[in-house]
Amino acid sequence: MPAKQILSTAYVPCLLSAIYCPIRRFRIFEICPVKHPLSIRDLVNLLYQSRDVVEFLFGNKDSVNKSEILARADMTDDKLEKLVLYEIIHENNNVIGLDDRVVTFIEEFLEIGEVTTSFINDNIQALEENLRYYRIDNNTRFLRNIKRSLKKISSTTSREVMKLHKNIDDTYKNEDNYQIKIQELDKYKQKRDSIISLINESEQIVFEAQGFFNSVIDAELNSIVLELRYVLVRNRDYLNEIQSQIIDYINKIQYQAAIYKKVQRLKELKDYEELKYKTNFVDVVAETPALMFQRRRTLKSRLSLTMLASDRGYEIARKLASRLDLLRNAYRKPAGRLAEGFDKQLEEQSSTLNIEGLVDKFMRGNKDLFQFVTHYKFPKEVGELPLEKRISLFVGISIDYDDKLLITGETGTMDYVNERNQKVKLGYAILKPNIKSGV
Amino acid sequence: MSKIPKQAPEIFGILSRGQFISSNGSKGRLYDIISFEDNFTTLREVFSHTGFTLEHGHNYYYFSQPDEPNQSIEKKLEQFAYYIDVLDFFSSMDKKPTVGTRYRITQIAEECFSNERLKQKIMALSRREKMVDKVADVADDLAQAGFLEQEDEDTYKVMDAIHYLEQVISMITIEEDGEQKNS
Repeated sequence: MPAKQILSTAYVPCLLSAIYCPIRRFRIFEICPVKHPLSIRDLVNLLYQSRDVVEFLFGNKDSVNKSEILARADMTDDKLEKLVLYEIIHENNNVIGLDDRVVTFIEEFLEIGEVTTSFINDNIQALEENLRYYRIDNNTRFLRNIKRSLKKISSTTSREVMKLHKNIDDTYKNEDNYQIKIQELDKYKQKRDSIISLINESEQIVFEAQGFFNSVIDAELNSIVLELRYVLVRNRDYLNEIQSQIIDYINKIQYQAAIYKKVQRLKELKDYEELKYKTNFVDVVAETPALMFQRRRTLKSRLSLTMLASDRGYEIARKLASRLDLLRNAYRKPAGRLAEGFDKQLEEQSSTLNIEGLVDKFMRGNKDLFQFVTHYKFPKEVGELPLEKRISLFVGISIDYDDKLLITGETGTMDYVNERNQKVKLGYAILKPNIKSGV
Repeated sequence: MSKIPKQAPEIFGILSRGQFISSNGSKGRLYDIISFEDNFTTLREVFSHTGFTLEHGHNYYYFSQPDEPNQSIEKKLEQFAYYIDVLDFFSSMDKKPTVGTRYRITQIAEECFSNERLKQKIMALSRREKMVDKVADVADDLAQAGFLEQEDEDTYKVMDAIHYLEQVISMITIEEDGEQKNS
């Protein structure tokens, strides 16, 4: 691994102390006193104290300037120096970055980052070695190592498979450049293949060593082996799923790429005015039934009169009228509420007053129309008609049936007391039935 | 027949205008309603009485009209020829239009400035004066048809309905002339 090489070359023996001191630069060494070896507790504390910076640096993998870090409120020269001394971060030409080991540590835990099969491979090698050693020498030390390798194989395999899936999804959805996208997916396809072969290898080793595992009386070992077998099978299933997903993604991308190539070709043909002759463009488009290519017909509907007559309709009409400035002369307000049942009275009259029959009766006699109407006894349902109504009836008949009436030209008078108790003389035209009209 | 969803008029209003309902846009809610249980069959039956057929593609719905007047064919050809131009423009960019891709108008305009080929293409597509307006013009056209959807002032997202255009493109066969093979 190149990263490891870089690290190991950076390790310089510390001349002042007996232990190897991984200080990279003599300059720092000169300023700083001897670095105390870190305990786990110190390391975790150190990471915790500088958690914000670690998070920031992990997020900004590229380049962060030293001044940018120092500008942070939670960072001082001393602190930075300390972090550099303990190699949590390293500084190179004023560019600050997290140490690779910290980055790997975080990535491993968060199951992100690049998929590496080497971890699994390393563990398989270790397992094989220790199995071999244990056969030679039944030392519990080797058994412990075997258990450790088995555990690690199962955890790293699961982790790498998870990472693989995450990365594939991420690449398909977020990589903008389709050429890079397809190459990346291809790379993951290969990684997937190598993980599968590592799984097979592990299974083979476990299978071959099954007799040996059985001979060792160790409950923990047995459960680890069982667990590993289960994990391997599950991951293989998962990888098969991933395989079909990768193929699906690649196909989709290639299909799309082909489409865009074709579009460009069609455009070329179109520019040469050859689209109609060299392709079946016309037929295909003509047979496309989707509505979208048709002339947009807007569906028109008429206003509902029922709605307009409703209160809501009135409100809308009013709003519109005021917008169009039609109300400037409208001093008339809508009439007040009509009395309850006003329409019932009218209804009654018109339904019970048989004017036709009344006229027929009149025609058979020889009275004058005014006297006939004012003295006519209406049926009970109609009730007693006041004089005003009788007069209006007289006028109505004289207009509607004028062809059946003989207008004599004479006038009569009638005395009558109105509502205000005034004596009034009423003049009227004398109308007789016109016998000649043939009734 | 099961109950007709109450959103049927809303769905009809959109589809009858020739637009698409895609799963990955703001109309995703309607998409879900159509896809819910056997709503698709129900709605298809209901809308069939209006002379439109409810169709579905990969993650999108649209209306088709089987008996269409002949005079509209020319219009259709013209329209699709325009889409070829537009798709050609988009496929010439670094970022290809795939479902879910987001485009920023300013970003496209920027690319047009630096890429002479794109510049020529966009010039032919819109007569607006400023580059940004040209791009917005084209994007709005696509958005109106339902292939893109405007997310905010500057951002447009590619809808599932883009598959429809791809489908039509893939159906066209080009006469072999040694240059390009039909896929």
